[in-house]
Amino acid sequence: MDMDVSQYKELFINEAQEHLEALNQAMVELEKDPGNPDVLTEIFRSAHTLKGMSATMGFDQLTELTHEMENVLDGLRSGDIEASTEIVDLLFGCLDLLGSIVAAIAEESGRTVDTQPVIQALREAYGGGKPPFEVAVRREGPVGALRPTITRGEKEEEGTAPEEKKAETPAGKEREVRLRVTLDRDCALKSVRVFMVFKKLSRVGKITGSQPSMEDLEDEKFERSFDVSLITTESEDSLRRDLMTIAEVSDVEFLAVGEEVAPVVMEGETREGPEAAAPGSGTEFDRPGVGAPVRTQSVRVNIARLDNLMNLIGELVINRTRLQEIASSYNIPELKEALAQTARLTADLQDEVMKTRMVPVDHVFNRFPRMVRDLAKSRGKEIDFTMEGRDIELDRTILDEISDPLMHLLRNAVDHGIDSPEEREARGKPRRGSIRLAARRDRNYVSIEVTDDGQGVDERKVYEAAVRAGLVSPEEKKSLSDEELLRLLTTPGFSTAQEVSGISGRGVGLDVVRSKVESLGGMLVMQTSKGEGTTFAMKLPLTLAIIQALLVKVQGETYAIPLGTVSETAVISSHEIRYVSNQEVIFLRNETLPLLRLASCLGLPEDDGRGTFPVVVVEVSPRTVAIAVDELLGQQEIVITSLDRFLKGIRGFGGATILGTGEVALILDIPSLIS
Amino acid sequence: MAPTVLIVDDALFMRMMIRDILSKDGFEVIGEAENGVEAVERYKEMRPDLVTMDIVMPEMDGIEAVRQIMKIDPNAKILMCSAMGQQPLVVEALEAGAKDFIIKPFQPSKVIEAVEKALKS
Repeated sequence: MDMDVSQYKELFINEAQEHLEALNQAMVELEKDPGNPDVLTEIFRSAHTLKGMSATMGFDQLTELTHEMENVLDGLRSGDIEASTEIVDLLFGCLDLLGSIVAAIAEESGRTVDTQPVIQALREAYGGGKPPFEVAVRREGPVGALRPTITRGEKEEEGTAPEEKKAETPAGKEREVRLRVTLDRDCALKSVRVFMVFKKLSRVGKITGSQPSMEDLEDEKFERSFDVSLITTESEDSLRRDLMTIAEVSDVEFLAVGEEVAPVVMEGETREGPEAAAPGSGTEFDRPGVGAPVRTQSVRVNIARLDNLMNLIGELVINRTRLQEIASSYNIPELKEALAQTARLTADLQDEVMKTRMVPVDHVFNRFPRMVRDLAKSRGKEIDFTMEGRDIELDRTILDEISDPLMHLLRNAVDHGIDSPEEREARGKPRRGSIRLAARRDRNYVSIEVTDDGQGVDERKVYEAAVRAGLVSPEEKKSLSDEELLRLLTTPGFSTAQEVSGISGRGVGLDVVRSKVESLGGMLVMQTSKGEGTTFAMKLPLTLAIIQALLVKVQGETYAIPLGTVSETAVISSHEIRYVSNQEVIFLRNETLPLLRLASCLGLPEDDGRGTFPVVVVEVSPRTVAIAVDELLGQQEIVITSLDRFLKGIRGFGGATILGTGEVALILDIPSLIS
Repeated sequence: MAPTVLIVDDALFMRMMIRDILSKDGFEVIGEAENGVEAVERYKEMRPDLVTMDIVMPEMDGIEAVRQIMKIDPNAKILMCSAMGQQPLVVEALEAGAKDFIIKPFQPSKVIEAVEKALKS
């Protein structure tokens, strides 16, 4: 009877991926410290668990590969195999292969992966001294290990066994019985079953022979049944009952004594189980529940369920706001009071759900050491990679989204940040470069930084490339600040420009990184110093779903501006508007700010005749812009609902929200609006 | 009353699977542990009728856990969960006092048979 394992697939994939990540991390450790037995044990354990899981799911390729890998790990543990570069690379290759098999399973693409070359290499590595793996047969080949174990067991109990036996012998007539034990057709580890039968029988009598011989039984050279002769006082019934408690023993028959039985070569008299040694220590009962440590239990929840919960809370917040509005307009103090309490509760609830969505950044970080190692190796660079703040938590959705951009930044750091060992030596720096990945909690932001001690961004080359690409005019100043550099580097179109110019690839894909970070409501910052290194920092909000926003009104419609981008609001009179190269600007505390009329941005008609109007000053590094609106409504917590696929492509909007009044307000995507 | 079971395995996936197999057949899974140390603690607290015990686990392996549990309760009924390639370990566990073993990949019928037999022994 096979069971349906498909329902466990998702769980399997999750856990398999966790094991693969752990394996990758441990392998990087092992490479640094080849002899470390703890790391080896950890690798072995993970591989072993993966093997058991794979076998259960019937993923034979995974099972076979982990099995072969285990053999090599065994060799490493015993010292038969040295953790040479080739072996480490082979094991890394094996992990990659395992990863792609798991991925293929996850995709359900039916994509096949060829495991034979790696399996062959693994077999060669451990000399193929062990039996090959047989999936179809689903049982072990003959393993010689059983016999020494039995012998050892006998020796240990030599002294105590006879006495124990005497004490156990019940009154009854001692006679010879011959029994035939039949195992299940698909019995795995038959020799262990034999061992269990012998162990039980030797406790109640003296085994005088077996058919086939003990040796053949241990080597599993029998089909389903074997016969044992025994001198005992026990009744047939009780013998049968006893043996039938062994799993996979399907039948016990009694044969007429006198039939031929091969004399058994038993090295000892009887075998006693550990029970024989146990009675003395059996009194040490610990009282249940006393001093039991408090443990946290955890449950795995599908992320979609958390999203749903978040949406429900979002609606609750909307309704609460609605009630608050009713309470204000009808001026009902009792209702206001009750709602104040509700507000506190919903805030707490929101907070808790938010916390359940938080996962340590390590979920994404943990695969980077391996990636940096491989990359550095392939580029011929020597790099020390360190990580900090791995326990800092971020919303799961954000974390998933930044995984690729982070990978991009790290790849850039290895490829273009860190200079070659020769260049480094020439510059008087240590041969080994260093890259640091650090996560930090900064009030309502999490900052994730990638720092390298490489060559830094060459300002002059960026400038020249930008001029060539027509992004800056040659007359503009030649000294660029870090922000300006970053803006150029992250301009779409710059990347192709600089490939031509031969600047070492900095900027490739950086525009993608920046837009991803900004779409999450965060920002990308860069600091660089020529010859000394570069730091890229992503500043990310803790969560996505609920934000503080400033509500404004334009042409009767309400819009929400995420408060994270707002630096201040002001009221401007129209005669304060100046023109700089045909662009409306205003002066605010000695700063010249471009003025953007929201109505015209959104293609709405404008009424010009007003003397004064409010502006919202928004800052999206490196730009600061004043946005003119008709009316400021106030600050409010809003729940972001993303726009569906028909509306997603519209520039300038980051989503929508439902207000307390039931009215829908669009959320402005400030970065795209002002760029 | 349904026999109570404690499931010990470092893989959540495995625990889930064993739990499902056993619950479907009317056993009451009263606890789970993911390593040997936890297993021993849980055993003390819960005194289950039966323990399913993985062999290779972090912190403390299944064999050592069997030894410690047998010290606490010589009548403990422990069923080893073994993967292929662990024959010597299975024998070691049996010598340490485990009642029986099941082999991954698990077949529900075999698991139930072994559990029922172990409870009877």
